[in-house]
Amino acid sequence: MGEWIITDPEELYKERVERIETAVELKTPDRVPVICTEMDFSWKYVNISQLEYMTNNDKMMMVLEMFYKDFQTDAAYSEPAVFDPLFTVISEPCIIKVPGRDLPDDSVFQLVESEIMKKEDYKHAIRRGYILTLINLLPKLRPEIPDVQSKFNEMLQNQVGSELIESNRAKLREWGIPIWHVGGMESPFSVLCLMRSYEKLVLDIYRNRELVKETVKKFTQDIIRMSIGGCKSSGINRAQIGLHRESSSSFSLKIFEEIALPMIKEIVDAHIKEDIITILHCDGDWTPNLPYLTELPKGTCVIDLDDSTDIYQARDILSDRMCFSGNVMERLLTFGTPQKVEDHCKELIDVLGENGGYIMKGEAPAQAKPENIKAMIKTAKTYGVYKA
Amino acid sequence: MKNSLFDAFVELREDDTLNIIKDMLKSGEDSNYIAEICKQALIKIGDLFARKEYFLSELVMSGEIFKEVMALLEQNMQIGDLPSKKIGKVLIGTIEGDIHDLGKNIVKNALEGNGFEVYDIGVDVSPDVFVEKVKEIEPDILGMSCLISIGWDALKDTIDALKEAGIRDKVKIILGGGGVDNEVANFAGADAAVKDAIKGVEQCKKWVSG
Repeated sequence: MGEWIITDPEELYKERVERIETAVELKTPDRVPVICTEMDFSWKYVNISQLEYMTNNDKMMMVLEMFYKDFQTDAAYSEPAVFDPLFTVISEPCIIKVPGRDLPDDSVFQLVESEIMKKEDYKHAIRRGYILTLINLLPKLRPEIPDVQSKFNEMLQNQVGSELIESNRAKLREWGIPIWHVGGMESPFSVLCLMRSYEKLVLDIYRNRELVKETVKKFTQDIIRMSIGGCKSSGINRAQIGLHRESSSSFSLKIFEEIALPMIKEIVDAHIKEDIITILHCDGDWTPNLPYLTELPKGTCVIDLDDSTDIYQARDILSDRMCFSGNVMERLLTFGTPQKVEDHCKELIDVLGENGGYIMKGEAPAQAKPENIKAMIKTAKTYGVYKA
Repeated sequence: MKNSLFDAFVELREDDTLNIIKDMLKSGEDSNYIAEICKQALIKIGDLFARKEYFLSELVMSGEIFKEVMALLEQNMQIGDLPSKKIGKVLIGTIEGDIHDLGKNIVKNALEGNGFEVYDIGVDVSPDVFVEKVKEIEPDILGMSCLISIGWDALKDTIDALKEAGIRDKVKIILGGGGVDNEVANFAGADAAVKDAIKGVEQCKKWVSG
């Protein structure tokens, strides 16, 4: 693990970019690339509070530098940015409980899914789209911010905070660290679910399906625009779309087929036109949904799975269509041992990454054991080496 | 009528279900009989869920229809008419530091639909409150919901507090939610961890019948 000291950071950066891009293109890189959700773990590792990490850019970057030096992952999970309650509302359109304000300093953010958007707001949503619906609901979503609507408009117009993000990005490059994806957007269906609440959305789908379909369709246009905008301003051509409520863990296949699948296809197609790879961040059990994803063009997506989905079926159905990532989960990294982590990671490499097309990703929570994360990274860098 | 009510409910045809019940009531059908058909339909929906033919969305919708059915029947009966025999008592809450309630609410509905008496003590429940409520309500089963990894310690703290109060062995403890599995159950000292509401109901039924 001496890459940090002995290699020129720019060389290292290029090597890592190539490794990742090769895997995404379903080709065989030198070894399995490995990444980790460092933003959830690193602050605890360095022993500062979550509150300090999320509000102080200098401290956040200090923590990240230490993390990358010690762990040597192949990329930053996403663009480092301090918490901005206004900016966050775009991807998390719900009430948010924040460490230091509503929760203890060392806690994690919690999203409160509630009926912020009322049934009667559907017509407005269909007419005006996602951002204007969001602006309309802002006083309910961020009641603690005075004059919230004009501040939000100002943020959108002047791209507040973008200079800081740009300088963080430059710093990562100095350290030889590429960025895995541009800060994730949630899918139109998932944001609607956050705004209506899961239970209300279920009832809406059964009682007024057309309204839901029309709203998702309209929201999709705004979300595509923002996703592409984020890629263009950052120069990163991988955009993550959070698919939190689309799987069989939340909705039936019929609902998926009618509402979610057309939305996913539209986003992927729009990204393809801009040479952007879509990372489908798939929460929950996607096993029954997998066959639908064969309809997406080959080599244009990465599917990021958790341990609810059957990896053997995922391989059989999708390995010739898209790159896999994910599946080293929080519980294993916390309660497991280095040996258990190694065994699991070897299985992942054997199943999902036999000839490339797999990016190992650890979901590391604050209390993960550092030795377990190191075991994951070591396995990718040793067992994950492909023979020339 | 019996079959068409059962089918309408299982197929989640909300308006049809309610209209058939209104017609049955008009023709003098017994409310308990109607309630029983609807409970059978709920059991069938649970089976379809277990076979992965139905999903969480269908469980939620069936819970909503059942609530409407019960409201309709209650308007048409004397107090005390509905069967009140419960098969067990469950105390349910989301652990300290976690404010998620979706899973808990679905489990609550599923348990009630299956004949349990459920006491819901809300979200962000401290170990002390869990202890106090277990003493007060004396449930057969304590269900704790935990969605976030940061809540694992709170699960353990709660079960340790029950041990300290000398009441741990008086209840079976079941964990539910995206943040738990058997490993977490072992860590915290719970009796079981389940991944979905129907598995939770099955486990609770096993405990009260055994």
